[in-house]
Amino acid sequence: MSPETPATDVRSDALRLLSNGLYVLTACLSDTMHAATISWVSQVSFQPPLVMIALQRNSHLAHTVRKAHRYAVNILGADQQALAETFFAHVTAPVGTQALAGYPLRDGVAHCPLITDAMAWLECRLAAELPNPGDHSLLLGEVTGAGIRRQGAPIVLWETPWSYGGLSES
Amino acid sequence: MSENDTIKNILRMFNYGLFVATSASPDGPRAATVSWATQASFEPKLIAVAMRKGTAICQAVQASQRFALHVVGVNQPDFAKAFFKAPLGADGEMGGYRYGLSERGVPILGTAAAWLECEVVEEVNQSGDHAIFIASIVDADMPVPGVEALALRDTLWHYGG
Repeated sequence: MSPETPATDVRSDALRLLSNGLYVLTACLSDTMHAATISWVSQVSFQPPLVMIALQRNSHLAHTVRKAHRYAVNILGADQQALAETFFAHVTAPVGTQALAGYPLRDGVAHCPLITDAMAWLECRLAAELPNPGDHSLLLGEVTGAGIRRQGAPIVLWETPWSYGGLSES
Repeated sequence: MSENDTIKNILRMFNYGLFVATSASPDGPRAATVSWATQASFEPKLIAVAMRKGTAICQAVQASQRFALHVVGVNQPDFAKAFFKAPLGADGEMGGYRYGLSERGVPILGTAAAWLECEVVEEVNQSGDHAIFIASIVDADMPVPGVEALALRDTLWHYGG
């Protein structure tokens, strides 16, 4: 994520009209829990229910998800910008810790750490890594579990001070 | 609430826009409203768009490997609605809207708030009911500078679950 910067050309302006949200991806790999904020997420199939996420190709997060095979997408409410910002940096903690960066957790069915403050969550099984010649890895996940804690409007990236889209990260 | 209902309701919490996708098929231009689209790379600039397998728009993109994605502006819900039923195009008009052809033969709808013209680099998602086109951006325009995009969640419609 980067602070809003002037768009360099019309492609950037148009790309930033894609309406992304902000989600915190969490996963557990051997003795360590991981969490980081992501934005490029879309459903891509009804039957079976499949969700695609795009992660920076050589990021710690992409490597973690590839090895863990299981991950959760924690959905944030419109009033949870601070939570989203906390996880712009990849956060880790030993398994057994009761919180990540101060946010309390519980263990999901597939043993993903779920952030209990989030509005809702999906647990996914990594189904495939899709070929992508670009700078992000496209990971296809089958939805294996889910829960809603409260109803409300989710956070939308364009209503925050941040952007993630266009021609470059900044 | 059953597990499936829970999943459906959560999938509908994701944020999507509304877009009109157009493509040239051998039998003429095709267009349909789509929602599942996201950027997929900064460098090169790539987007990923999912289209239901077997639909006219999906087949047109598979045949031509080119499409345009038109952003529906916040005040243009009728523009999105006109393409729910994938109207056929003829004589420079589709679904009641005028279109022209780009240099590469892709139908461009002048009404759109902004558009991206794309070339497919990969088609993926063998296991799902939608094809995912990963596509590079070859041209773009924003006829209405500073326009805001219509969010699916701010309409009466949904596509997800």
